[in-house]
Amino acid sequence: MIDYGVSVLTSVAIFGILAIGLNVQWGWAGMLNLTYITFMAVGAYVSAGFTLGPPLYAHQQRYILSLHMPFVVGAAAGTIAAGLLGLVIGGIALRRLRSDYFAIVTLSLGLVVYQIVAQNRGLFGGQVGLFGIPEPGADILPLTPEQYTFFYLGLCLVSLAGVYLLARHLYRSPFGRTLRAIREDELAAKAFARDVFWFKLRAFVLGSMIAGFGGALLAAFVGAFNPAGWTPGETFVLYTAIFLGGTGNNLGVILGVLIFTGAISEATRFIPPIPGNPDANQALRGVIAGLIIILILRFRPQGLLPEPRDHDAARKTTTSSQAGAQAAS
Amino acid sequence: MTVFMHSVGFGLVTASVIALSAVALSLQFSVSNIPNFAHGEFLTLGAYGAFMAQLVTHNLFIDALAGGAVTAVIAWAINRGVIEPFMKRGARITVLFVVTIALSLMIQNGLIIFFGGTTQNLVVPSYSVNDVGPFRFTVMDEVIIAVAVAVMLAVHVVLRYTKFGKAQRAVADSRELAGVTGIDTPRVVALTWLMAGGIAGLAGVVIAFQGGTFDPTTGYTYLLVTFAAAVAGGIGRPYGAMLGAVILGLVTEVGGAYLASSYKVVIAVGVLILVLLVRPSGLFSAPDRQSI
Amino acid sequence: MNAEPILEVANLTKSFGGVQAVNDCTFSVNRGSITGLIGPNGAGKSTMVNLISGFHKSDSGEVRFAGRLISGTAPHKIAAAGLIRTFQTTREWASMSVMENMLVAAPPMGRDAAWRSLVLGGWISRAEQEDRARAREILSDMTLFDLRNQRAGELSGGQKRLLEFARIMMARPRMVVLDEPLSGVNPLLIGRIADAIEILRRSGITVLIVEHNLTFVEQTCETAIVMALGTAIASGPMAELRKDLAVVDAYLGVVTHA
Repeated sequence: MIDYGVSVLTSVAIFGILAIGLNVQWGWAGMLNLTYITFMAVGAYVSAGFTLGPPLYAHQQRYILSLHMPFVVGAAAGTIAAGLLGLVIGGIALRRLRSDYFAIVTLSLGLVVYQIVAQNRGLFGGQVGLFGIPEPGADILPLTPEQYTFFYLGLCLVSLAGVYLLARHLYRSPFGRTLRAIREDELAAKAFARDVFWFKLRAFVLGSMIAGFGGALLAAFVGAFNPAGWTPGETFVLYTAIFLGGTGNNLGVILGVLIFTGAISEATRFIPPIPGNPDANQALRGVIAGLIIILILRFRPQGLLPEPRDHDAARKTTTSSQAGAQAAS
Repeated sequence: MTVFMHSVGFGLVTASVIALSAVALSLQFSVSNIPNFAHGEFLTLGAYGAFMAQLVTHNLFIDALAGGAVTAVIAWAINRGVIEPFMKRGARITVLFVVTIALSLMIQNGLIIFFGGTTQNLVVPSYSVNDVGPFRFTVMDEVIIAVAVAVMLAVHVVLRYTKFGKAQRAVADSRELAGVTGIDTPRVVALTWLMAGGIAGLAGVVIAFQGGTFDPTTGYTYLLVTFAAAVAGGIGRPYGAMLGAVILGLVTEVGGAYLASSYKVVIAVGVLILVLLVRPSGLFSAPDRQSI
Repeated sequence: MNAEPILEVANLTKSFGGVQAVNDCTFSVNRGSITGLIGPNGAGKSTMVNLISGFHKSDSGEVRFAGRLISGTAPHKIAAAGLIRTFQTTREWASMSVMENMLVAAPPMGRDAAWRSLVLGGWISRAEQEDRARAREILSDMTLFDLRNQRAGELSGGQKRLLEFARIMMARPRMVVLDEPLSGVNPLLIGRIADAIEILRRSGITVLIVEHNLTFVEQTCETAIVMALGTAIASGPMAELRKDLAVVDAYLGVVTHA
């Protein structure tokens, strides 16, 4: 039972990281990236490629890289690779496109990447994918397999905390504030000298890098990775979490992941499967996700936790304020 | 040479299917100003509708009608029950679009729950192959092309010569102005969704008849190429969508014959992105003026 | 007041589809002045504002700001060069607080770089404290100080207009183009708007006001430019313009044609 709990919590931590990255793109900057999961996949593949050695059975599995490096290097490489892909896709999709067209373009470009990876066995193992991904630090730490799961959970939680603090810092910075202004009203942002394209591109790349980092953690956690793990539908699961928890609120998205990915998804696992319909439980998750999105958007669009507000606390420095009291009433 | 001509032939059949789907999408977009991400599901629903009808009769004509009718009603209901309430509250484009994504999720997964995720079979007669000029068609291929042409003509007649068609064009042009000139805009929108749903459902039926099998994701796989065709023709413009469908159908089939079949997706994406970035108002119109 | 022009528009032309919105229009605005841009509906004033600020690209002609050619430049670069415009509807960033609106309006000065905020955190927060102090002063002048933590979207129409002016002050432009600043404003607040414009001028900012309210233009602007049918037909003090037959004709002509 504890084993199961540790496993769920690790998933939640990793998805929390992914959700924060998606929140940077959507919650902060208003960009609807429908292929976010692709960036996670790039991080997973590259990180796995860096940490794996050459394949044991070359006739069954082929892939590039195989550099047998430590996890830290692999994760860094995965993060950077995802960022580079973000630069390319963002650079194409962000040029003067309406928000829904932008979304469709991201989805289409993601499909192309999916095809390239799935069809090319030599790249990252094609449909077979990668497996036997080494566990970070397993060879140097004297832990039993059970202890190791706790260690890895700790690693993921620390990573989540790090990503969260980074996000919180940036949210309040001029950078984050400008992004939110762009989300609210792009034209006004341009009228006040902000290079909207450049801001959005940076936010897109930042979100992609966080996705890549999450992907590296996921690949090492599961030990294997293949196209089944990053179908387009996975992005929607993340969106459900952040819509639910509160777009724009970093803590909120973690809450959303906890509720949706943690509680609801796991709950559907326990519903007795319908005989003859093995996909039904998974499908139920999809139906619930869609329902949650529509209900939230209809009744509580800001999500469970509202966006944190700036509060300027200092007192006045000038004296002309009697009219100020009037204006406030 | 024969490879080329045969792929052109396939291209025409594919174009016919895409045309049905893209015209439906364009009609719906013209009155709602959002691309319906659940559009693929309309195709799938059509196939399932025909499948259910086959429990009663194997008359393909009736099955097809059933598929189209079921989808038409569901489309109407979605507009009435989900889209319009959001629009009344002044929801932004992004929000509406996300709502259609959520609908797509619900319908696709709902179908999996009800029918199972495995492929379903339709009872269709086996098709003999004819050589029509340089092309090689099965009887079903010919029927599909004929159906597509017939529907295009019907749409043209409705848009051009009926009172509803004129009202529809007015609403597509400007929702506010149409309302001011006495047109019952909500009714026109509802009927347009009904029409679009019916045509999309028919597209799904036709796809299922041709292949003989389908599953809950069948329609979704056509979403991208439908969108590409509609955009290429100038989204919101049914006539443009027809032309866009021909282009997409031919380009993807011919390209797919010479490159690998999986490259069809890449080709469709390429066309879509090129059009959106270079000629956003479609290939057949004047260069888009800057929008503020 | 300087007689030197800060904004020069030369032979500007712009059409949309078949419609000629601006047609070989030429005028200039003097540094430090408050100038009106008036004319009947359809004269092309709004298009002109978009052309000047870079939100539309002209078909031909030139716009020069402080001697530099800006026609064809992206809008955010023109704003960075010191030319800021407002919109006919107030465009505050609704879900952010008034103070945050002010902070975003401040000139970028490299503070928006994400990596800077990570590496040079101290420098950023000092700069931000300066911005906040300046914002508080400006908000006080605009009588908005006590609203600074309120969501900008919750302000009244008149308060939103004042916030526009506050943001402009924050941005420290050399010139501002006001696109119908009185639209949607309660007539009782017009005096406050006039005061705000005066505050702008005292800071040395050149003001170009597009307005339909000719009384207001007469009271606040030293001089005005008249546009009709896409081109500038006259300019000068309002008193003179009232006597100019071409101007009167332009206005009346539109009325009789309606």
